[in-house]
Amino acid sequence: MCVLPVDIADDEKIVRVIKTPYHVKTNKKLKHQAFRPKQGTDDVSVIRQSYMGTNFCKVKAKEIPPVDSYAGLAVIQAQGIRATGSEVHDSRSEYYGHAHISHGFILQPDEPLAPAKNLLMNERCRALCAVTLYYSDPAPHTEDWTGPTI
Amino acid sequence: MFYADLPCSVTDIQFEAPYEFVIPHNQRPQATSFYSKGQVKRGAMRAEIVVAKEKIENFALMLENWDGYGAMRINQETKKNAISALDIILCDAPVPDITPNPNGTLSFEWETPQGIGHLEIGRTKYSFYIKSRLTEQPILADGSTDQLGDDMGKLVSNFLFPARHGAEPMTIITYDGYVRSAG
Repeated sequence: MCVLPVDIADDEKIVRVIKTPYHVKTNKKLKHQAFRPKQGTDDVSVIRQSYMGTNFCKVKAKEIPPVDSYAGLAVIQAQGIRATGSEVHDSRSEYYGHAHISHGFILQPDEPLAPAKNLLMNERCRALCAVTLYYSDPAPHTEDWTGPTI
Repeated sequence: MFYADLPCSVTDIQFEAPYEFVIPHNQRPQATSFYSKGQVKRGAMRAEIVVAKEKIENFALMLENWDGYGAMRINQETKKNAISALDIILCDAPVPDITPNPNGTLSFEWETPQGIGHLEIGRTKYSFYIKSRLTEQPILADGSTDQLGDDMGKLVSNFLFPARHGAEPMTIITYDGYVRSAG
């Protein structure tokens, strides 16, 4: 396995595994909620696809329950993330090849952000969606990725 | 051209973006001020409301970690608040796109060429904004879910779905005190 540098270069491809149909629009585009963090953290889990490969991304996708709701892979370049004002950084303590996107907004459980902050966060997530390529997995039940080359 | 005169106080929220226009709940204008004469209400159809409520019910059935990243279940109170919000808002606004959020809230969104409206419902609070091409500053509002009024639906309707006025009569007939109708 190649050595994975800690620093994430701008041209590195980052994958967000999409595991719910509720974050994909009917026209197969992503909703901005796909890049929202969960409560208590501003980290959004992603995978360093340029180093780890697409099959690795799919293996990781199917390890995370619920397996049946795995939908596809959203691909974005690190510079695209940074251009929106968010940051992407290595977090290999979770597993080798793991990274986090950080928006700088921490959400409370069960309650929304104040409207000004909500607008900023949603706009940022929308900007991320605008520079993301979403690949719906044509064969989600197979081991390997059989979709287009990422 | 629709113009809303909203003489509300400005807060000094410390954010980089110049979003200063906030409507505290007790300073919201009367709902009737958002309708110009002859404008038609653009609420949802009854069947659409039923479908939207069913969607919320289904979201509330999702188990913990429904997105694979540790998303919270939609709390029963949040579900109840969202359904109540639909009853209020959909009298005046079309059905929104409804999405569950990983932190347990529900988002209602309207997106048109005129802009974006977003209402997020939580267990006790709501958060609302409209970013419209018709206004320089976004419209922001928040408060307790039991204070969510019908102004939200009217704001969405007027800023994001501006209606063409229905045909108005060319002849205006007025009666004064000395005229009675025949018969």
